[in-house]
Amino acid sequence: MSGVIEIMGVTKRFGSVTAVDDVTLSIGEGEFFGLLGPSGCGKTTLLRMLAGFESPDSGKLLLDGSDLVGIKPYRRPVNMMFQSYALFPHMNVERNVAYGLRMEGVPRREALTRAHEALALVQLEGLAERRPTQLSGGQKQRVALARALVKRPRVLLLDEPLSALDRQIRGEMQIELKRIQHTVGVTFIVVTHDQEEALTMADRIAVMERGKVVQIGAPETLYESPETPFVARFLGDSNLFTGTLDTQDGSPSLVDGETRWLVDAESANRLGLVGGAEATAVVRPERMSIVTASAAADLPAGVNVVSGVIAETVYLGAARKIVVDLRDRQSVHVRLESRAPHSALGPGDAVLVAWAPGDASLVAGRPE
Amino acid sequence: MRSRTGDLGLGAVFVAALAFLYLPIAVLVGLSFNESGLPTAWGGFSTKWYSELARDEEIKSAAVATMTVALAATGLSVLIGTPLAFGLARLRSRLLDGLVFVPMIIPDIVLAIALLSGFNLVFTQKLGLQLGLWSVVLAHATFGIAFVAIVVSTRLAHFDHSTVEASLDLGASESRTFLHVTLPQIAPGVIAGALIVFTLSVDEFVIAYFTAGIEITLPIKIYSMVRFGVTPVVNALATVVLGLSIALVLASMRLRGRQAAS
Repeated sequence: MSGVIEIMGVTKRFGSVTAVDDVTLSIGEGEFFGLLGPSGCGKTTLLRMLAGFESPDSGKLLLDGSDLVGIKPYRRPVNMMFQSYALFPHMNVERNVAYGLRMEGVPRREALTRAHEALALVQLEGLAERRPTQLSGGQKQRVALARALVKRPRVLLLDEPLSALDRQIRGEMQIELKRIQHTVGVTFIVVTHDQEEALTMADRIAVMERGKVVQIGAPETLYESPETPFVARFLGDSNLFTGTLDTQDGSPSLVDGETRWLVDAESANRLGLVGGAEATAVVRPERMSIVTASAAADLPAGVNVVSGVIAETVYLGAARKIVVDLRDRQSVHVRLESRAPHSALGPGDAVLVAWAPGDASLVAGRPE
Repeated sequence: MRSRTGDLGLGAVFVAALAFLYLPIAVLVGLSFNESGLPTAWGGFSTKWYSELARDEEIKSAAVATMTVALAATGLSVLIGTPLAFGLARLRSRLLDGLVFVPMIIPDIVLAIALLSGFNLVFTQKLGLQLGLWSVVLAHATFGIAFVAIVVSTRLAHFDHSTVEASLDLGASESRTFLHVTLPQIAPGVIAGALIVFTLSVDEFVIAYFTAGIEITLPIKIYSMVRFGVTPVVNALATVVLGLSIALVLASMRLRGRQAAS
């Protein structure tokens, strides 16, 4: 079954820079899809090609099976919410929202009725007469959303929708956007550089790096089973242990000089890694534990244990982040619930950090 | 510490400066209503010089010529200056910006000589045309275009280009986008630019004198009248022009104020 949007081998160059490099993606009906990556990774260019503001140098863009290339922006059943909101300053809120319908030839009265419905959806009924300059950032964002949704597009494109908002409003809007998407059932494609935003909102995420899609998957999959060191580092906090794979004594391990990390045999087999290959074990801070020297004897066999000194503890409310400097100068992040034992440890305390091979995800290669 | 005498001194300088600036104008306006028509004796309030002004066919035809030239030069300046501002905004070249603004700062006499010799070469010698009001229109447009371009450019500097993309995205074609989104946002700049050009064109003498051929605009007419002394009719005429200029400048300032506010 093909999706609403099919991106097939799309490449776009600006001069000598390849902004989007042979990207293939399929986005399904009603999906909340995230394009995630650092700035300059090509995610916005990809979005602008879907909107019709850029055209690909090669490859195909299909919407409901028909080719979008060469179709003007104003003839696509696709609407976009701009990063700067791009509200028309000379029109009030109601006329901004009704604009798309008026351009479509919808009679004034009906256009205004539908505009008011869209404003109700984003909970801004009372502000129809205001000018954009009289709105707060969060209100502008809602107007922009209503304006883009009022035409009931097949696909709604959102370019960094929350980047201009205060942190607190951003959290509310993430939930709000999901609610609205469920209500209207339109396919949303959101571009963001904020991994937390992508994890919170999207059903599926494509992580992009230098114009290429490096991994596509559900937020859980990307977080729990990253396929490259880049994805592991970009999504959430992670500890990376890199070494050369040694499979000689039955249980595989990563060797880095004097250090040896036990890894999961099944993962190594699944990745097709053979002895001598470079690999990285990714361990999330919440999957690591801290034990005191006296309790070390109670740890089961086959668990990685390493000693270190606490460099810093950071109180995060529900949890506490503990930074531990290991002997080999690497430092790791451990996340403990605030009420967990050992959370009273402080800088300078000598501790043991433990992680089980099964709690790590193994990826081929080393971080750059 | 400010002393009382210091305050008085400053006040005196202020009054003197105001008198220097406005006394001649006040005298001019006053004399235009002087029954006797003599600069030395007040013969009572009268509007008879205005009646005489209204009966003077030569002045009226010069006024019509000036208005025609000003309107045409303004129209031409807007039609060329506005797209020029868009082009400059896109190219972002300081050199080109500078080149466009040269006609604004170049001395009038230099521009007048340059235009006269240029017009003579092209229109008179090559095409066999007589210089007239149409050549004054072209001449005034040379600096008018620059004024419109600079005022619209200021407006464009604050113009959010993503509103154009948003309009295209919402289903408006390029031309409808220009009409509904771009034009309303830059209109205050265009109108302010037009008012400046109109005001400048109405009282422009040097360039008009050089390029008008045998035609006579209002400033040229006034010049020929005062060569033999200032008559009360000239005072009345100057007062009318003054009132018109003040009205235009006020309108332009209001528009620019609104432009700054939005």
